[in-house]
Amino acid sequence: MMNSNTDASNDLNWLAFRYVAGEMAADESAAFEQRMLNDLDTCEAVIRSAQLCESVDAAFDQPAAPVMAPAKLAQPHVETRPAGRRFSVAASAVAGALALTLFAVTSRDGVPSHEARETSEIVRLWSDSADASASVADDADATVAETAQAADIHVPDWMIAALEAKQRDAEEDDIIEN
Amino acid sequence: MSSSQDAERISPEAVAELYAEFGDDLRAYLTAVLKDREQALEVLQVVLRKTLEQGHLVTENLRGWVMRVALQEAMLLRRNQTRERQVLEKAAWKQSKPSDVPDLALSVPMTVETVKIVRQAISDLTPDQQQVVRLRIYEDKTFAVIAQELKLPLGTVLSRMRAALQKLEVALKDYAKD
Repeated sequence: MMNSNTDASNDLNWLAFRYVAGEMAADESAAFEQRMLNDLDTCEAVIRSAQLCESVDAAFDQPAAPVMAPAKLAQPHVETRPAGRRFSVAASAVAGALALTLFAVTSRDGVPSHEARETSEIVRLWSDSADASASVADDADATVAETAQAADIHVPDWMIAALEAKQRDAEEDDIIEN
Repeated sequence: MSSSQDAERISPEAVAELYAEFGDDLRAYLTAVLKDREQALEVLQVVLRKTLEQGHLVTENLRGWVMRVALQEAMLLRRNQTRERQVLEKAAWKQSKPSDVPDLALSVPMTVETVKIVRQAISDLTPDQQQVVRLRIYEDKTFAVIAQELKLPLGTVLSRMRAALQKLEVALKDYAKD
């Protein structure tokens, strides 16, 4: 009894596979579809067969490389670490340039003025935040947006405007003092 | 439709639950019937709409009813396409013949685990069986072509495939039980 059930099940699975694989002639396929209309077991066999084919296809499709979960597959491959390093180097260069400019503008007498210290603080904070961003990028799992942002480094306008204002103030102070 | 009838209808939330329960099965089923993923998704929409409209009238097993509606809709779509094609052919339009090759591309996202299990099950097959499975499912060759290429009787190829499928089905069933 058990064997006949198994045989019947195997027969049905085989028919389902032939249907899914398109190995049936047109009249046989039509007859099988009529059977599907009236028999849920036949429908289930078709579902199992379709899913088995998909699994086998996927198994052959990705033989060597580790299979990635669907969520990971949706993400484009991004080289985050080099971008993070590039960002860090660029940020340090910009911060250094700003510091030199600042030094030239505000420390003519060798003693940093109050404005110089304030501006220096802005530069230090910006530099720190840039380093922090770079380390986040380095810590992997950075998003595409973050990477795109990192690749497009520029000195913010507010920073330039702030420095120009400070420079103007310092020059005005010099004029008043002289 | 009266408001009392509306109240008896299956709620959109219930349809969503139904979809979550066997939406993947339904997609695989429709893809197997239509051999086209896009069309399968199109019909899936129609089936879900019908479930929302008529599901409350179903007295039998709801899954069975949904499967039957899905098959009917798929067959209707196919008939309409055939009719459309005939009309176009009569009008002497150049019509590209639809592919006879079943589209068994992934319609359901494979989990890492499923693919692992199937890959393991494939590696447990005999080399002869592995070869036939690869040629039939992954390379999408018909049994007749495989028999010709391997210089084997068609019956031998079919036997190997059938034995391989039984093993793969058992492996997947065992995995599903766990």
